[in-house]
Amino acid sequence: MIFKLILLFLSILSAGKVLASSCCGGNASSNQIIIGDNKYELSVRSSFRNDFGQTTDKGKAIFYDDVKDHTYTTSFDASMLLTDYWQTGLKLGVAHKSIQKGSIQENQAGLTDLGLQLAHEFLPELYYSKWKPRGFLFLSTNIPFGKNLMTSKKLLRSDIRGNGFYSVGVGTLFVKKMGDFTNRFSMEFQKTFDAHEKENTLKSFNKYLLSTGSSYQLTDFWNLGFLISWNYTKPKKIVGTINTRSLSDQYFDTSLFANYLMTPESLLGFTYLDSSLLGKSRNSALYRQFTINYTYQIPL
Amino acid sequence: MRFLLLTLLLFLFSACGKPPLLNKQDSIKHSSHYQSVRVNDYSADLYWNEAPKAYSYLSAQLEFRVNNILSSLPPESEVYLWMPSMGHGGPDIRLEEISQGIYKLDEIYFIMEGDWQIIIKLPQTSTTLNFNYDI
Repeated sequence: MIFKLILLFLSILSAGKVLASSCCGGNASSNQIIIGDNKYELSVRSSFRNDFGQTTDKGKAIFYDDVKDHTYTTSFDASMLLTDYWQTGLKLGVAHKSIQKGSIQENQAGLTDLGLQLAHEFLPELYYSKWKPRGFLFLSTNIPFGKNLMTSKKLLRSDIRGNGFYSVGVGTLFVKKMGDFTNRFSMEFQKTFDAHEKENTLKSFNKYLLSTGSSYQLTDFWNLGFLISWNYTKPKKIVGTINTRSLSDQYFDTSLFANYLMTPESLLGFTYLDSSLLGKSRNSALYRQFTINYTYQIPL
Repeated sequence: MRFLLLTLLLFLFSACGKPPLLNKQDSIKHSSHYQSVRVNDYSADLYWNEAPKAYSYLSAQLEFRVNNILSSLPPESEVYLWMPSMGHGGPDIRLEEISQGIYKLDEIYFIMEGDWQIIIKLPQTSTTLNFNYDI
């Protein structure tokens, strides 16, 4: 029973993600893989994000003073097992951004990005092993409904609600339970396609993500854990009537979470995420985010 | 447990370097005294360390973007003070690029009260970005 509970909780951990634009930081991991013994998993998340600074290309932090940059996001995730080893998932959200700098205030709301995913369990746990993890391979795609860096028309860029670019990704996730701990490690590569605006083109660029974390089964109902993610984006290049090139950016997200099993089918989760706590950050936003999520699971 | 330790060690190595909370850029802050200008593909944001006023040395932070991407000012660009009603400028502004597209402006000195502009002139593109102030 405890093993099942841990797997259930881990499925929530694996689905944990943040809808955020690449320009403004945010864990853009796309994996939302069912790990528990469920046929379907449906989640609703509500998050509040506060951007409070940015980092330079030398890693120095500039903190905002009396500047408001808030994002409220409600998102919906659904994952479904197709066969024993194949599964699919989608995610979509609505975001409201509220930014105020000096006398300029902008409020924008709308859909974020549509994420679609296909995953295959290539390393199933068919027999007990002390060390061998379960392994998943996944393909993901991102279809934007908001603006991106190229197409944003707002002075404070409040119309960039998600990643904003068409992209595809491939990644792998490993999960291993050890006693009361459940550990995970994932890697992901994302390729973003060209984005056009008038006569200028933002050329395709790549993004790399690594994350690892662990959760601890405190009681039959409570599970606590952390997740650390490294995000790296290669330089972006614009060609056309203007030519410019950004530097690469990187940041580390640190998440602390607690999950509560309300009923055997439903979970309530609380996540605190901070991009300023760990590791060297370059050319990235500094932000904190609090998320509450409710997940309903339909067992096999 | 070994798996956990290995993954944690991997991240500790890869995460080396001061975290942002402990690595603050000196003398730069984003304040509420803010203005933004956009002309075609070019935009500039100016954050004053305090409300702009006459007869006092002031500092500010300038962010210059091309299509929303922080970019260095093109060669031969100029950043200067101008008083349109009087037809004259002011003392030179000291400009230091602290990160690509992010500049620290020092020694901004308005020599009298009245209408002032901070002008960013991009000669290669025939573009001028103006910040207007009533000091």
